[in-house]
Amino acid sequence: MSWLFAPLPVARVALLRLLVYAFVPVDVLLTTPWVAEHGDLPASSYAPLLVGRLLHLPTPTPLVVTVVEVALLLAAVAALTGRAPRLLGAAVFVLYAEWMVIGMSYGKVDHDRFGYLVALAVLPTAGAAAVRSRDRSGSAAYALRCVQLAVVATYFLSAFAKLRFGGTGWPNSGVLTWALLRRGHDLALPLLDHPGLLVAAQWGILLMELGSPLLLVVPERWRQAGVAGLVGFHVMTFATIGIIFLPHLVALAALLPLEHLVRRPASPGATPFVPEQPAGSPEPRGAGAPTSA
Amino acid sequence: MRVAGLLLGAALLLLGTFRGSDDDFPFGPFLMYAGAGPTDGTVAGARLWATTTAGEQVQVPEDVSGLRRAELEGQLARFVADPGLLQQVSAAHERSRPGEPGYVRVDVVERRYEVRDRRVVSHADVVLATWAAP
Repeated sequence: MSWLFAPLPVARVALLRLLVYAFVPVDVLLTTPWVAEHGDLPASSYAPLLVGRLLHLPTPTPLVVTVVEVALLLAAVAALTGRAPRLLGAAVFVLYAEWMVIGMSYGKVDHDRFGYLVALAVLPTAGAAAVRSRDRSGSAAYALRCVQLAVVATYFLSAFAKLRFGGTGWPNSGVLTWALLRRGHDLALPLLDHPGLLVAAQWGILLMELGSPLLLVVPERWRQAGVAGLVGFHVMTFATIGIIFLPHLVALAALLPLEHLVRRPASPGATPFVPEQPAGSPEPRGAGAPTSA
Repeated sequence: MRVAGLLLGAALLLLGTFRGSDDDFPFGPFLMYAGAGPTDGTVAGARLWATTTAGEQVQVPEDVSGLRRAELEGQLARFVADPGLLQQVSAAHERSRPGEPGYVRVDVVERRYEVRDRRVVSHADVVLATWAAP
């Protein structure tokens, strides 16, 4: 429990919000444009998810999709300003969740955005947060810890999904051969000639997933190295079979000391609009710094 | 309140992982290539192909069909049971590319690779469903 609320930098929440809300238009307009196209499909193709049936969400039509899309984009841009973080953050979460129901109710569910959805859900709870704040708070910690738990759970529980659906034989199976045959880029196809390498990769993936909770407990430098390793894994996946978990990668940033990206003003308790200080002492790194005078 | 929210989310996620399915999104199991691919047997993948008024065979782009490949495969049984549904692909193409030659025929084609000891030994294309303009 103390881990969940032990104060973390408020600035990290502010920066993660910038990333998360800025990603909304990227996702909606550029990287998953097929969600919007679902409005043009006939109602008979709509196979609503449990959540859509429970909440009696409307069957997507061009009008429904356009209204949700425009409202979501406006809410995300408004949330980027940092004003009314609870209200606007909640609006983005609700609209994005509906956007996901529209996206995932046509026969295929994606599994690349649990951490991102959790980020949208919990970031509003931290309340006001300035990018240049030097404060730490338990509310910031709760939001960040929830996102960290969600991204780690995405890896850790996917190992159990593999064992549940693929069985204990999963790591020795032909799953990567299968994946390459169905989705492999031409450049990756020569890997099909090295089945032993693919089996080794399968073991590596399973062990990486089972080991992912270590990210929550290791020292900062190891955590950063671990995150870099995971990013490398996702880039490699993209290079071979063209799948990349972009929303998940955004949420992964919750594991990084984002506050080190901004130079904090010298005066503690400053508002976000304090002019930048002249080049001075470098940012103190690590837990415990700085102490408020 | 916050702790309760976290515990509820965690409980739903665990339930989804060990008992649930994709229908329980976002709490369903994280199925990223979770199935054990065969070391021997058939690997199949479906694609949409169309014949244009110009007599050309073209693969239907995803942005025209409005269906990603995995969605096409998720709905395969419906197309096989009622190939008339494929007419929507022709209609969607006409809406999105009015200047191009239209589709007079749409086929769901499955490519089947035969795999032995994790190596491909042969492949064949099988037409699963067809819609043709009357």
